[in-house]
Amino acid sequence: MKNNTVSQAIVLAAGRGERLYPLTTLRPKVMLPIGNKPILQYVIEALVANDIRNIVIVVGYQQEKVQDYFMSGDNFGASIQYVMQAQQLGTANALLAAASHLEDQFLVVQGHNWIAADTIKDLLSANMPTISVTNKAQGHTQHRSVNVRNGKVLSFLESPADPITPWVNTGTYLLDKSIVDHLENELDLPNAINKLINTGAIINAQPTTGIWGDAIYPRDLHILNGLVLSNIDTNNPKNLEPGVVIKGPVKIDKNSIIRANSYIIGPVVIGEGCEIGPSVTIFPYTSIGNNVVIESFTYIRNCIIGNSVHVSTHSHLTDTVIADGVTLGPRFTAKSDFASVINENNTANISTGCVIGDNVTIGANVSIKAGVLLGHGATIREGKTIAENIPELSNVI
Amino acid sequence: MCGIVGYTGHRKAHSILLDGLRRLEYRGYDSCGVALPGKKTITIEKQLGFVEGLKTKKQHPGLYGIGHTRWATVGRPTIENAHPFTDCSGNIAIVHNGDIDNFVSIREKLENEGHQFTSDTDSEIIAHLIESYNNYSLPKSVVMAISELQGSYALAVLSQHTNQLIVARQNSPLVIGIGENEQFVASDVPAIAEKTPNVIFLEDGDIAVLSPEKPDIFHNEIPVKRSIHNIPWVSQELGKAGYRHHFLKEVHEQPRVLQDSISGRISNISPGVSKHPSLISYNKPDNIFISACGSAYHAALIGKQFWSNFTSATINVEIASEIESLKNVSQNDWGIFISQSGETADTIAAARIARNAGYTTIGLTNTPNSSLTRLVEFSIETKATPPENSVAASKTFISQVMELYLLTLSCSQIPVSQLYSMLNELRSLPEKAQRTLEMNSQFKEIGKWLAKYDNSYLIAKGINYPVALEGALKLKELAYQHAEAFPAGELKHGPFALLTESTPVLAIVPDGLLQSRMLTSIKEIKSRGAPVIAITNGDLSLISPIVDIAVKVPSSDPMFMPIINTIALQLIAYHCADARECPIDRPRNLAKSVTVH
Repeated sequence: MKNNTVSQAIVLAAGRGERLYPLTTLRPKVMLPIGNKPILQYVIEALVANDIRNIVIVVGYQQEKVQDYFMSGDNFGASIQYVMQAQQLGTANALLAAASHLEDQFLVVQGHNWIAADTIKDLLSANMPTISVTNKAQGHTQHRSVNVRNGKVLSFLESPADPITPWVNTGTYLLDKSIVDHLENELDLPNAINKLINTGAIINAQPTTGIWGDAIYPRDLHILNGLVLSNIDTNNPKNLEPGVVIKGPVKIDKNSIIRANSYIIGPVVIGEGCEIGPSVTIFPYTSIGNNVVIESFTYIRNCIIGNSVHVSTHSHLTDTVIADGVTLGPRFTAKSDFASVINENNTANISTGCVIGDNVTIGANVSIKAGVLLGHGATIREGKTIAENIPELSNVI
Repeated sequence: MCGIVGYTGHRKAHSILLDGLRRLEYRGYDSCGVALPGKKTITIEKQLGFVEGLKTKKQHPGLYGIGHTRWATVGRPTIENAHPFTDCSGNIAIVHNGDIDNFVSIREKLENEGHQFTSDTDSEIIAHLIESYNNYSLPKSVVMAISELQGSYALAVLSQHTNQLIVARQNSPLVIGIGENEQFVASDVPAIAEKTPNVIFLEDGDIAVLSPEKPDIFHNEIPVKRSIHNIPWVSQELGKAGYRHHFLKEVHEQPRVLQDSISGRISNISPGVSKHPSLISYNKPDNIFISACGSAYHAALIGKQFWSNFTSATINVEIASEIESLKNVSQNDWGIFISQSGETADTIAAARIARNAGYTTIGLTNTPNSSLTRLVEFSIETKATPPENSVAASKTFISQVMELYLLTLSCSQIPVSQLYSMLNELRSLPEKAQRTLEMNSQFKEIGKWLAKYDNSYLIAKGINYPVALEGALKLKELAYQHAEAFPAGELKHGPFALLTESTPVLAIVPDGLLQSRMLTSIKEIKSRGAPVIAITNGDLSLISPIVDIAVKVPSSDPMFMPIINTIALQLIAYHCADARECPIDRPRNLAKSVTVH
């Protein structure tokens, strides 16, 4: 039985994403911006591209942020309903929360996994029920292995690294309502599917090579941002003052202006109502949100900058993530360097800038060392060098 | 009297009429009804309350008909007073939106001629008046009848004997929708936009005869052509996006509304706010006059404070319904008229008076192609899209305040030193509005606490006084709580006598110059035993000890605090209403757009 009758998707979007602190203090993981859109928007767009328009989003942590952005789905070509998962008890519990909304057949997708339309297309072409798997060689080491034989799932394994199988779960499923009976008392959907398999049900495994990515740590955001920006088209920006140099794909939204002698090398995206320059340099893989001011003689490379951010003159920002409503004083430096960051149960030494939470205010002449996390609402007075993480709402004088 | 619809064509009219009426419920929902051709005389179905109920009845086979959803003005909201009305013979039915000023004398005349009336409304006389000319053709008898009417009307007339509808407009909105071998008519575009994108806006004094094939429009009995507008259909069935009420959803849309309002208007490099595109060629005004009703009036009062602070031109603000005449002025005087729907009858009347007095008229609405937009010389569209669904205003109010801020700044000569910080504050408002929404749990606690009381008072000073007025209005509309706002200093000149342990007082306590005077007022209130809640961006260590509850909201420029304080009061009123189990999106006795005087 082919599944071209599937018209519904359940999108799991309730999780907080604590490893993405401080970016997830005021938003759930699915609302983290990649290329100026929340990750969840790419998921919705991939579904709509496959004509899956009846979408149920399971929300939980900071649910209003999801609802306020996607509303009823009108602007995204979808009809969106919201279901509340009271406690974030795992994917099986999340699907159970949506049980009363389920059609006979439906897709289950993870709201925090960037997913290509082709991955969903692959899955839709398979026989019901099916899970989408990808090869470990693609580097997804954080996900559960799936033991597959002759295109059928034998079981989900506990360890991601289990050597007996090359396949990992992408968290994307094509299921029918029979799963509902196995959701009670289970936390994770793979466990519920294991139980379904034990009853004799046949679950297919559909390999996909479509792009698929997950953000677990802040540094993953740069990877996803690079991935998304690599595929943007320039929209031939118009609002440019004399002497502005633009090379490579650069997309600038309405009401933004680039002042004289600025130098922008794409891929770069700039949101609505921004004022950039004069004489600002922006290098690849940078996303700048809406309503952002970047003053003259500032240098930015490989950064993700949120909405309503003010970057003052003579600043330097590399490999850095800045959330919404941040004000940076003149001569601010967040320079990329090798730093030790948390990686599962140990640490890794990687090249990174810093991560600045929402509504942080920073005075003049402040330097932040690589790898530092600034909690939301923190205030840092002028002239400081910050070498360690700053808790939220604190005042560094 | 509020929304009317009509249909003639090849489909069953009943469901088309009901669908149209449902989309006009924002204009009132005291009662509703439809009229269709019957076996011998016209069939009327009517009932009290929402349109939903009419649906359950068996569908009528008629291919033409008219319908009405009512907001009671003349005559109580009873089934007898529900439209449509028929004449004595039952061969003619009418639906009417507007006010007939001379209905008493016409009714007496008709009663003396033997006509029998079944309702207390002014509208019913129109059916009998048309009947009194029944020796003429139907269109002619309608012309004769309405020539006797004084007042406002949007009218649709149905006859048992012909599938032609006669419609007429005078000072009440009416649009015709042109389909293929079918014609629609309604008070507003949403009622027909899903059926056809091609609409004609009738002018005052127009009469149209709608046959299934085409509309024939007459003005002073001479055929006229009116241009056809193409209005793409945008879903009006906006869901609540997971929220329990449209009001709460719309409160949450406000950061985006603020963002859209400032987008492209502010520059830090050539510091200032650019003129609104529709005013680009216009000089700064000598004087400004703003007129509006309800929440829009409160927005105007905030605009007045802001304007007076930053420009030398004088500004006056009047409630629209209080304007009977205006002195003649030069065109360097601007008259600004604010109405969410652009259909507020009182505001439109005021705009007409101002235009005749020589003002350069500017409309501030959230509805392009509204009656107000078409009346004024310049139109500024507020950025509260999609349209507001809740009867009580939230995002449209915020958008009006924001446009008035931007208008002022684009006309002012603020020293650059001060301007920079104002522009930065303006830019950060969407973010601060978002932070205010995130304080919901604190506002919920206050709202639930406030719900126990039947009366409450709000006090504030300066630019926050209109915010207190708006907060009191939300408590009245949403929570049915008797709430009154006073300037803090006024309380002791009378209202003080009302204070007891069961009259909570909400005080807006801004940081800065006014804080100490607000604290003095609060101490006076506390000494009378009334509980006090403070909404403040000031120092909690000073304020908390002297009040019962203090909540600290994000801080901005003192002149922009109304945005943040309004959001706080909206959420408090919402949770108060929710605790009192009020129908938040459709408060009793109210209509979203008030198209009568």
